[in-house]
Amino acid sequence: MQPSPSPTSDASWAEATLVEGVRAGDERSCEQLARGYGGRMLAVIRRIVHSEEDAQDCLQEAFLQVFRGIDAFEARSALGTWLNQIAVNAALMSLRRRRRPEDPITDLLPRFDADGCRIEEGNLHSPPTESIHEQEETAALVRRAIMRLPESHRIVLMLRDIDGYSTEETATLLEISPGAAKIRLHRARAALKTLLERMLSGDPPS
Amino acid sequence: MNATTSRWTKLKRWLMRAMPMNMTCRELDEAIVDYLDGSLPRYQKLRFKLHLRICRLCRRYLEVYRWTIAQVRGAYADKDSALPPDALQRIVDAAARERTGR
Repeated sequence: MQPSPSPTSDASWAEATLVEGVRAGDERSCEQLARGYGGRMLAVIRRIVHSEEDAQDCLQEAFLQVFRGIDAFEARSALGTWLNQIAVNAALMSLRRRRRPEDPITDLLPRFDADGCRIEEGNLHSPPTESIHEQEETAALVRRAIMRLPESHRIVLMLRDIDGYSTEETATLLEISPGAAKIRLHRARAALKTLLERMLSGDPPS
Repeated sequence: MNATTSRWTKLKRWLMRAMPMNMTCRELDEAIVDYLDGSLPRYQKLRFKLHLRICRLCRRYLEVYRWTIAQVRGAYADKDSALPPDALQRIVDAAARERTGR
């Protein structure tokens, strides 16, 4: 996980007070915790599950786990990091309950000849440059392309490239080896690269 | 494949065989994640960079691969938002139900 900025002593004190309130079962503290951290947790969950309804169910489940398990929180780690981890786990549990069959992505991966030489393909010879007003359109296109990736690869991409988890942390969350996490990350990026090349060049993504 | 590409590919193949230190495109592909993470061992990093010097296709591949990662990060850069009021209410209600055992 990328390091959070060092909290000021005021922020640490406010966080400790909030945690104490939740531990004591204080309703206002629980609400304040949800209000302060829920938006970020919901954003993390939305990137993993498929629908808004699932996302809100996961968020509710995550907060119930937080309220039940607040005694397990140790102030050594940042509260936000701990909460995000619970949110990710709740989202992953939801996915495991309704696992979908995955389409292979072999045709989106780079190809090599018998000597290990790259076979030339791809439509983008250099990264496109775009004006500011085109950026939001590209962002929407990228999000659509990411959703086309097989779940097992998409989740690794989200955890590593957006949520900032390390390979080891990603592997632990997904209960896979660090080597497998690395391979999935590379395949997800490579497949996404091909999808974006096809979409930006106007070719229908197969 | 045109004649220039063909000559260049032949030269690249020869360089890959003649220079054992050079890695193949496939080996480079397998090392991309570690290279970008900065965790590739020094000797492997040297081989990676040497291959990039002689391989136009891998240079181009890496450039668009990096661009792809930047697009992923950019696509969700401003997606964190405040908690919708109804979502907050659901959490508060669920917590209250749990406390009262209903």
